[in-house]
Formats: sequence, C-alpha cells, structure tokens
Amino acid sequence: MIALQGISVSSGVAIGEALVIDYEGFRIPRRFLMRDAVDDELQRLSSAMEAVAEDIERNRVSIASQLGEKYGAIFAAHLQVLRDERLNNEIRHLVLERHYSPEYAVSRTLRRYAKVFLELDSAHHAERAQDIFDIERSLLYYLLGLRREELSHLTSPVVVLAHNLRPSETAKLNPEFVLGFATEIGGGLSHTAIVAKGLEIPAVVGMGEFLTDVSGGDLVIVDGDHGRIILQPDEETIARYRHEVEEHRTISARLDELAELPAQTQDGTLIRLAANIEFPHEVASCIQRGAEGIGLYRTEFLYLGASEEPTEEDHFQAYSQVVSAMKGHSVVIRTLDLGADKMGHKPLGEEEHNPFLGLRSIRLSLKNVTLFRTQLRAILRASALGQIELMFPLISTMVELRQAKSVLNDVMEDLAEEGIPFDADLKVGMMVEVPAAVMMIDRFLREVDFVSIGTNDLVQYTLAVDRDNKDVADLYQTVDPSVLRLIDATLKSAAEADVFVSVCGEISGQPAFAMLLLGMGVRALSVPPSLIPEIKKLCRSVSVPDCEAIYQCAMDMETAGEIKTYLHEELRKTVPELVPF
Amino acid sequence: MAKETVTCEVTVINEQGLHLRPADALVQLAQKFDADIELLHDGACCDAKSILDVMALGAGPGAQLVIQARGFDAKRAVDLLASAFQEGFDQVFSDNADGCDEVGTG
Repeated sequence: MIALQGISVSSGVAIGEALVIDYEGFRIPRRFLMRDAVDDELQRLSSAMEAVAEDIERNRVSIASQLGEKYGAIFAAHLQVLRDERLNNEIRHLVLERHYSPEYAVSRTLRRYAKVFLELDSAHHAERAQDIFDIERSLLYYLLGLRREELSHLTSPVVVLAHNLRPSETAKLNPEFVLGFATEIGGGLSHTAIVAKGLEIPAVVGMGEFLTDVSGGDLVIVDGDHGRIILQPDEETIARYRHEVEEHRTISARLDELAELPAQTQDGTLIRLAANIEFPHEVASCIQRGAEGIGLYRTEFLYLGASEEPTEEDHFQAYSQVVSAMKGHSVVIRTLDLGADKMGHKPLGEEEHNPFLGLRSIRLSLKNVTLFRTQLRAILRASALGQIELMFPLISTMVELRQAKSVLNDVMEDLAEEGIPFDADLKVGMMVEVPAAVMMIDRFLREVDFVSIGTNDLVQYTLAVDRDNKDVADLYQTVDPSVLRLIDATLKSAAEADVFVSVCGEISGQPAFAMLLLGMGVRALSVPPSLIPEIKKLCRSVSVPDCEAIYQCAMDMETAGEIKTYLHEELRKTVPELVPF
Repeated sequence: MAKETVTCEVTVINEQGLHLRPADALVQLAQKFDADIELLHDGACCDAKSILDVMALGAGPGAQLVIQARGFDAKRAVDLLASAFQEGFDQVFSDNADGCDEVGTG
C-alpha cells in the first residue's frame, strides 16, 4: 500500500479502477479479451513489435551514420530490449493466459521493469527507466494507433490518473464514468481545480511523480478530503474508505433536506445564497439544492473547450439555457476572465513572463473589442429571456470600468437599431478583486449597480502570492488580516452607498470563514452548488450577533494562522457537524 | 555433453556500471552460446541472455560478479565473457575508435 500526499481541489472520496493517461495522453485500460480474440490480438502484438523494431533500426542507422556506431549502439540496445525473450514471454503469457489486452500487458510488464530500474541505487541505472518508458510509448503508439480513445468516450467508471489535465480535458470528463482524478502537477486553485469542483468529482493535484507506480486497472483511492491518493490499498483501508463514502452520502442526503428551507439565521436575518457555476448543466443541481440564483456564471469554458473562438450563437445558446432554467432567478454573467496564455485557439499576446500581471480578463477583452462585443451581444440577447446581470472581472481603474461600459453601450445601441430585444435596464456590476479597486471603491460604487468580492484573486494580489506555485502556496492565506481589512472596507463603503454586494470567492464556501463574513455584514454569498447545503446549514445554525462578536475578535488578531484556528474553534462550538473530517 | 558448471569471478570496469550498452554487448555475446549462462551479483542471479534481467542486476562500477555457465560450450562462453568484462566490452565497438566516451541515452 502506498499513500501519497497532494493538494486537495475537490472533496469527496473515489474508489475505483485506475485509468492511466501518460504524457502523450494514451489511456491504458485493463481490458480483457474474448477467448476467440486471443490469436488475433497476439498477431497485433507481433505486428506492433515488428513496426517498433523497424523504427528503432531506422533510428540506429540514421544516428550511426551521423554520429558514429557508438551512438547507434544505444538503439541497438533498445532493439535488444524489445527482442528480450523474457520480456516477450511475459507479455505473451499475460495475453494468452490472463486474456489481458496487448496494450495493458505491454504497459504492465515494461512498467514493472522500469520500476525495478528506478529503485536501483545507481543514478545511471535509474535513468535506464526512461529507455523502458520510451519503448513502452512506441509500442503503445502502434497498438493503440487510431483506436486512441478520448476521455469523453469512456464506457465504464474509472479513476483518472494523469501527469496533467488541461482545463479543456477536465471539462470533457463525463462525471458518470469519471469517479475521481489525480494529477502529478497543477495547483490548488488552478482552472482545472475549479472545473473539477464544478463537476463535483473528487480530485487531488500536485502529487509529484507517481504514475510509474500504477498500471491501468489497479484499484486506487482518491481522497479529495485530505488531498491523498492510495495505491494498492489493503483490505482494511478499502473498507474504511467505503464506510466514509457511505457517511458522505448520509450527510449530504440529510443536508439536501434543507433545499426547500430559507437560508435564515437564528435571529431571522435572511441570507441570499446563490451558486457559482461554470457549465450550463450545473443549473440542475443548483435548483435541486435551492440556490437563489446564480451569483457567478463563469464563461471561460466556452473559450477553453473549443478549438475555435466561440461564436455569438455559441455564447447565446449557453446563456439562454442557464437563464431559462433559472426561471426568473437572477443570473450574474461574468465576462471572459482568462489569461491570454490560456486561450488555445488564437495567440492573443506575446509570451508573458508574468501572466497574472499581464494581458488577461477585462484587459484582454478591452484589447480585443471584437471578441468582447461578441460576448456582450450574446449576453444582452439572453437578457430578454430572464433576469440577467452583467459583471466585469479584474477591474483595477476607473478608466477600465468606463471603457467596458462604453463598449456595452455601443453594443446596446447596435441591438436597438437592429430591433433585437434585450433588457435595457440590465444591471451592471464589477468584481472587486484587485487592491486598487478597494482603494477607490467609493468612486467605483457611484458607477455600478452591484459589486462582487472575488477573494481568490484578491488574496493573490494583496499578498503577492502565485496560488499555483507550490513553493509559495503556503503563503496564500484567505483569511489574512490584510485581506479581511480590504473586504471590510469594501463592505462599509457599499453599505454607505447602498450598493448590493456579494462575496463569491472560495472564502464563502468554507463554513468557518462564511461565519466571519456574516459577522462582517455580508448578506449575499455565492458558492459552488455542491456547497450550498453546507452553507445553508451554517446560516440556519448561527445568529448575526454571535457572528458579529466573532468578527470583532478576529479583526483584533494579527496573523492568518491565529484567525483560522480561532474560526475553526468557533465553528466546532456552534455547528460541529460542519467541521471537516 | 559436459554437464559440470563452469564459473569465473569478474569485475565491472565500466565507469557507469553494467548499463544499457555494455549490457547489450554482454547479452549479444551470451546469446552466441548454447550454454545456460547466469550472472550472480549480491545474492541475486540473472539470465545473461536477457538484457532486462542483466540491467535489473544494477551492477555498478567495480561490482564483483560471478559468471556461471552450464552446457557443452560453457567453458568457451565463460572465457569469452570474462575477457569481455576485462576489456569493458570495448571490442564490440572496435569499429569506432574515435575515443568517444560513455554515451548517455536519457
């Protein structure tokens, strides 16, 4: 049994067969053959072996003529490995006797050798594992060939293990078959993580190298609550986790009973509890859990999933689906909030050294007005179908806000001229997620209908910490007193100006922190749909005066560590069942 | 057919131990013989005709090995392999005397 620690990005526990996706995206499932297919499959294996041998021989000749026989000898050795009788017998035995698919037999056998080499003391021997992986890749290339199956075409439930999953790949995961996933790289608040949470798939990232230790089909456990994965779990561990899965189910069933009840505190204060979504299909779970509208509809998936820039119609389809499903509840649509580096289909900027301080989000929209107008047109058109509000992300200066609003006005005029219906009284707001915006908040409040505090970016820009850099990730503290003061200042100004404010960052989804927000005067929270029951439970268990007392105490403290410990203690006293396992 | 076992003690003189290329050379030589040939190292034993097996021994530079062969050509096999160990398996690459050292393949 091997337990490995990573970064938890989406809670829950998944137990299932591993589907290993290597660097080049091959999937190596453990597949069993029909008895009468064995001969054909052995033939296929031989052909792949021959094809790889020819490739290696070609490389040998070419390298030998360029650099000399001594270099060519490396490939001769690869050929020796490929022809190794023990290896061939072993692979054939797995196909013949155990009816494994050749892909799985090859992968399993070669990985076993590679693991032996990796464990040898000598660095030179350990490096030889790379030669083995190289041969494995070549064989799989021929074996899988055109049959390479994509993640979106899974047919049985698996736990996906990969070096990395791009957000677009994560977005294609079918939650029906993907029980959970774990990746070697990636950070706790990366886009992939947000997508995983949206799909409610238990996920752990940033594991470091571990793929060499698993073969497709092995039973693995992804523990999204503790950021752990367990390879080759023993019986006792499996039983313990199965029990935990059961418990999760019971608790969430109990919390789901709250769906019809209001998020009202003990002293009768009503809290507006909305949901953050990424995909139109998440609307169903929002409604089921009793979300009062969509507090943050991220629109990035439209740009990430597609290889081409989305058309106005693509946007419109998605937005109208969400707004119609929400039946009169408000839907806050946030315009594109991506970095130029994440836009796969079109290079929109130079290579950036510092993407988080670079061309992203509203800056990208304002530099590419065509792209921006396309999205605004679609949002406006959808506003005729229901209650839509529009929100600009990453506003740092008054100039940006005014420019964005002026583009919006242009688009409105165009639509009016074309006679296309839209909501002329559409509410327009901004995200407060840059410290500069907080410093100028009184002025911003004169020109917007609402603000939403996005704590993820606010924390990163206030503390100057890249949340995806594991070397400094521990410095990323949501409840750092400096961040709390910025939130506090925003809330006070908004109350004075009588402007609606909600909090939509990760902070609102954590019961202990949400309790503090209520004490600070927040009356609208937006959280991932999966967390609505928990946060509703919290709201219904506390009273505003108690939360205010907690807030007073917390604001006296000077470090994030102290505040965190204190808040968790208070939560334990008030609503012990919401304290994480 | 002589059935007695022939053995000989050898030392790995290659700077990087019995890694990919020397292992390949060793296995190529071993495969020329009919005899069953094994290498013993540090309590482990491997088939000298399987490159993966040889590499898995993890014999580093200076490692002491025992060659053990059984079969009618066992004596010739052990003699040839022992001298190959002594020369660091260089004769296999004798067609290339440009003095280029061990080559990394990583």
